[in-house]
Amino acid sequence: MEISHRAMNRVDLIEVVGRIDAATASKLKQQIDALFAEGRYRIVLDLAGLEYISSPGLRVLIEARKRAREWKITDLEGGDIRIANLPPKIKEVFDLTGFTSLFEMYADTVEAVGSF
Amino acid sequence: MSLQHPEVVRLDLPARYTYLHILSDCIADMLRQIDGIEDHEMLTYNMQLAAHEACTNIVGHAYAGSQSGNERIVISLALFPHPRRLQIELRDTGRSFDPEEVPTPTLDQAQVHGYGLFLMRNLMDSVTYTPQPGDNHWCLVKHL
Repeated sequence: MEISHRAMNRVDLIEVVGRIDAATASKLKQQIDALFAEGRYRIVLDLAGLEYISSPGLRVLIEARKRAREWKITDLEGGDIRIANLPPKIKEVFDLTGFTSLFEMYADTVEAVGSF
Repeated sequence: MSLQHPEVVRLDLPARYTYLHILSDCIADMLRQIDGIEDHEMLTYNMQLAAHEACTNIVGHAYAGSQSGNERIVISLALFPHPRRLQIELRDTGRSFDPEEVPTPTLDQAQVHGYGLFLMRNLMDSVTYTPQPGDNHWCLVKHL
């Protein structure tokens, strides 16, 4: 799995390419935790290159979403994990687990970054 | 190719994530032989994911803390023609667990455990787990 990160003014964009599974999920968690440690809680995950995700990866996403949403500036503005470019075969897994309704999803990263 | 007889592949792998790609490759190769499947790529992906979830459970729970270095997963993949189905059996000698005690994930509470079993049950037509000292047995079946 390859992770690349781009910091913008208000939002961080993380691109994940490859597999998020039991062997690699901790690497993604470390990347997200590092941003949280810097007080950055607005994160877009670009998953266009995601080939596979299993339960350890889903766990990282749901924990990160929970922590990001706990950070609030106002009742209307705060942290979140938002997803761009979810591949169709991964979307089926998201549908099965109920993740589709849990995460805000966008067709591209521009839209996702702009949503914050 | 239309399948006339059961086709069986047996694997005996070290219980490490490193080797799971061998299982994935076998599943893909077996399903590639089946005609008339609507979405081959999706089916293959889902079967690989379900099998990996069982292996992840074995490596992460059944063998958690084991240090002998000889922990193994014995896998049997069988493609049956009548009724057409893929059956994946996995055996381990580690700690067993009670599937009834694994809570179904509650998304509202951002519960972080139980997704593996939940996914397996949703991706396959049948998932059974038979705990037995020294021989825990998973059996995953998908009708094709």
